[in-house]
Amino acid sequence: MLIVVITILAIFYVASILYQFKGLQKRINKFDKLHLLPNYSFFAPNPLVNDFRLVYKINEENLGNSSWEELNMYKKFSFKRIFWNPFKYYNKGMIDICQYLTREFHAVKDKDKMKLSLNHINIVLTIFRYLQKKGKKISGLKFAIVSSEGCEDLKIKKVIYDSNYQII
Amino acid sequence: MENLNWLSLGYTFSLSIVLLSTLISSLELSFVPTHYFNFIYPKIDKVHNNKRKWILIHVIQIACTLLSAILFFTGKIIAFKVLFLSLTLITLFSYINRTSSKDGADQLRMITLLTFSLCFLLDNSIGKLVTLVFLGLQVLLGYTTSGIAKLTSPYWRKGNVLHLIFGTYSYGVPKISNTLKKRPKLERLLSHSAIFIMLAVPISFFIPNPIVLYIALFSIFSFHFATAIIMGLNDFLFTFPLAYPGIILLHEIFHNYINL
Repeated sequence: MLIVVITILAIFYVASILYQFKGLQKRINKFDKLHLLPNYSFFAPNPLVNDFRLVYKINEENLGNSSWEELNMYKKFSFKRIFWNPFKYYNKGMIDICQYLTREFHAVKDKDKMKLSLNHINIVLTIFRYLQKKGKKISGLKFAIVSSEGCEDLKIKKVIYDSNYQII
Repeated sequence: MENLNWLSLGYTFSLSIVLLSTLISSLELSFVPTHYFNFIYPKIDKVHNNKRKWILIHVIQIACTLLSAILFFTGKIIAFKVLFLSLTLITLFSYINRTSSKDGADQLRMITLLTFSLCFLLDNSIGKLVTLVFLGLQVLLGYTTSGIAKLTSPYWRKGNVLHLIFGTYSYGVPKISNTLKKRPKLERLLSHSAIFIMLAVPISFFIPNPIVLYIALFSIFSFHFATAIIMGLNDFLFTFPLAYPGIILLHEIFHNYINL
């Protein structure tokens, strides 16, 4: 049994080492069905220096189209986040989903099919639930993902993704 | 005898850290649905039940974590192993189904739970030894990769990257970003310190004097502490130290072997 366990761990360790090389990641990913292989390069070689921001426009019943509003994806600094920071999962999840969606957008030829994307629907549902909790009755919405730089001196860099109106 | 005591102590430390880390992570994850975000079961037909399922999974995870800790520390080892295996399976289920929002700490936690579970198949002290050695090797690889990736990055080498990272909403504090922007020498010093601290662990591993390794581990722990406060990455602080006993043990094995 010792040999079996050590063999499994050794194979995983060798795969972990190979996975640190960017050129091999795609090939190794095919075998990593559980997505367990770690990429330890954290914030390198290219660190994240831009934020994604999610803005939406809604079509309210009897009120017509609204102006652009932002769905908050970020929270201000607080010392308590050293012990308690559930917001990081939401924040990371939103960043990931914006990245997946923009990657999909560049890969798909027929851009009209984007509204069938799970990531697109997920973002629509997130905005819809947020508005529903605020007591807003909406008949449709559109959203856009923009990238920004800085916190206090905020610079909007570019529009990364712009959806069509989605009927709810 | 002394080695066996150290092994048990290291194993208990690692296990305690992984249980604490799993507890904090599952408590935090159970609060995520309050942010309207759905990333557990992205399949549309299951959207309605998401919140209930999400909370149920993490309540089970929390219960398994607490019971595993109680059973381990009261010496009921068979029951502990059963509960710990259940914890590993439910965590794996949650991990696989989360399509986004996974970071290096989540991966290390999952690898650790699976390693502990796999090594239950071995005899007591051999199982403990293999668990600690494997986790030590994983985190040594982690710090080495992270250090080399930063060292080879022109952004990090130039040393003007921190004010940009701290200037983001995701991982930033505007005050710190502004301070660093005004003091480029300080920023360069801190950027290069981050690279040095990462690489200090694998470098000190090859130095026979264990004190050097302890200092390197303390420095990297302080680094995790700082990133938890400044960048909100608290799960790294509660996950990576679980491998420190393994690194210390590996260091001892490696240098004893060299001196033979």
